[in-house]
Amino acid sequence: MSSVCAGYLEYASVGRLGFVLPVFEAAKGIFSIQVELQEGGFEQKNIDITEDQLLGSPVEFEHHLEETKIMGFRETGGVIRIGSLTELRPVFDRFLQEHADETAVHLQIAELIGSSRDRQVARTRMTELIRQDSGQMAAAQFRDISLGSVVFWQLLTTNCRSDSALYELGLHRLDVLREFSVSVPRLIPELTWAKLKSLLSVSPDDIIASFKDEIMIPDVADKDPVPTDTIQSMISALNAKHDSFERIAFLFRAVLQYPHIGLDLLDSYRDFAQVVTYSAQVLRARLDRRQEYGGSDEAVVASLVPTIHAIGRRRGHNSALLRLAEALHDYPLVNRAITEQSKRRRKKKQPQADLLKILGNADT
Amino acid sequence: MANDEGRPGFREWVDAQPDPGWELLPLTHITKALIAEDIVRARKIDPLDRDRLGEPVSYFYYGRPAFRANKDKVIKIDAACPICFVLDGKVVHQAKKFFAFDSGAFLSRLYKHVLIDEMNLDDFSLGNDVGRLNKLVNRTFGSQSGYLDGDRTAVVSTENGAHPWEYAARSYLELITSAGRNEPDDRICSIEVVFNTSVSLRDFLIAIVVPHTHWRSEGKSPWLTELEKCEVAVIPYNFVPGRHPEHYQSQIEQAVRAYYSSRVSS
Repeated sequence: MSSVCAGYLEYASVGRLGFVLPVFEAAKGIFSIQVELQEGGFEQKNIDITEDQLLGSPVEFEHHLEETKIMGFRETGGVIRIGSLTELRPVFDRFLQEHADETAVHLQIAELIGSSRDRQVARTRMTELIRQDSGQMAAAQFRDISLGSVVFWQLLTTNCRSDSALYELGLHRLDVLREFSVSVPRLIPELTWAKLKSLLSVSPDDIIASFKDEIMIPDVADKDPVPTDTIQSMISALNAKHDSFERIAFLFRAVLQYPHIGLDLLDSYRDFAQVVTYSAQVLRARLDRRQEYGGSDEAVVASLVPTIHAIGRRRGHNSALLRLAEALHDYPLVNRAITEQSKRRRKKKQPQADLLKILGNADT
Repeated sequence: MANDEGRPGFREWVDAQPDPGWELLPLTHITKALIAEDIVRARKIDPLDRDRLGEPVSYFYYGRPAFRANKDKVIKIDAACPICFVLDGKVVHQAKKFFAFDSGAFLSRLYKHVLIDEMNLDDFSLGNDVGRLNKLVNRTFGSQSGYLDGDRTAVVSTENGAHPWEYAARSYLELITSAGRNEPDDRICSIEVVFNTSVSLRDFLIAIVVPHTHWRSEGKSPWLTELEKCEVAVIPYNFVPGRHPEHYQSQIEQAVRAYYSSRVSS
């Protein structure tokens, strides 16, 4: 059976090399595009365009549109190729060879027909390109949220114990992706993992390991205090931390550990989250008045612990103290301030055992 | 009895709710990539759509990047490669009107499984009283996060949410907890914000979610660079062609939600 591709539309940039959107004629004057179904396979969906909006000329080909994915691709010289992924593979190969620096299109090709290794490499290169152009936050967002959420959900669905488990997983989709959008799998709360464990045929650790393989994610949960003493590397390390309060704790630690560059770091660092920028500015202002705190930088940082704790609680962020403890427990004045705050917290709620363990006050 | 603003019952029900005192949520506006570039170059979102009276308007959603891929049974081109503008919530003070849900879906009779024929669109207008936005969110979802997630399990029950004589309010609660006629459609519980004047990007744009293909070998699109200079957060998503429109919608939702989370602590 033959089908007709009536023309194509640009996705975004006009005339650029790469993918275009093939449009099919469903009936006279009615046009459709091919979309992937969530459960696999394809379907035709009518689209709200008129014939005069279409670019290119009609092309006839021998494919069932319900069975074969049809793509459009503009290659060197502006030639538009329409065909199945198999038919376009030589076009893609040619493109990959001739345009080794077209990272964004490489990623699209890898996602469509590449091996696991191809996807890994293309994802990493794209993330690096975004990092170079737009900074670590944009790159982390791309890698962890955009790439990550799709990969993570795929790993969960492909590792379900049974069809009924898959159905139940679907009921938790909202919760899981909500957690994911503010975190990465390793940091998803134990409560959420507890719901998922019984549905999976592998352990959460296996899922996390596979996720890291696919995304090549650095081990952001490692609690290395401050890895180096250059501002740029500190900012890079800061940007790799997803939790606002983890970044605040890192900044505080950096000031205490590297006082010779700490002030410059506070002056130059600006964060997505205003609370981090605000905390840095307050710390900076108090350091200028360190004599009021006995001339001790550590006392200045300790004085901010109640403020950070209060902000965290107002925002429903119960791990603010934990983040401070992880980064600053070896500074006695700060340790004491955190311990004091944890006791206040305890009046209403049992403090986290891990917090007390970090502070060395397990018997408090 | 209905008037120019529709029946007043729904607004009276909202007005009776306590003000939760929350900050305004940002507004979202989704369009296709080619149009987005025009918008950024013009530095404003012009009212290029038409409302049912033929007046030029532009449509936004309160907080949620709600999906408008389907226009009845036809997919909008926007859904093939969407871009999402995120604007500071303060811009709502310039809006012409708010509706409790997507007005286009109402006019396409997508809500007729719950709302009776005698109910008019303006019966569900919130006018342009900004205070009603968070009051409605609070009364229905109980929290901004519940509203942003479209978590219908959080919605107050019809019996507890409104008195039997508050017809429009009861119908609305019934509607937002009802199963869609076809696939789930989050427009049903997304507050629509209508502008009849241009919206300035310079004053209000805080973030934009774009396909990763705007980063090319020679650097990213110049208009994105311009936005970054103005401290607009440019958030890329992985754009693989040929996926279902809901896939892209999910990508944008995740990105916007993560962006809000990064500001939550602010």
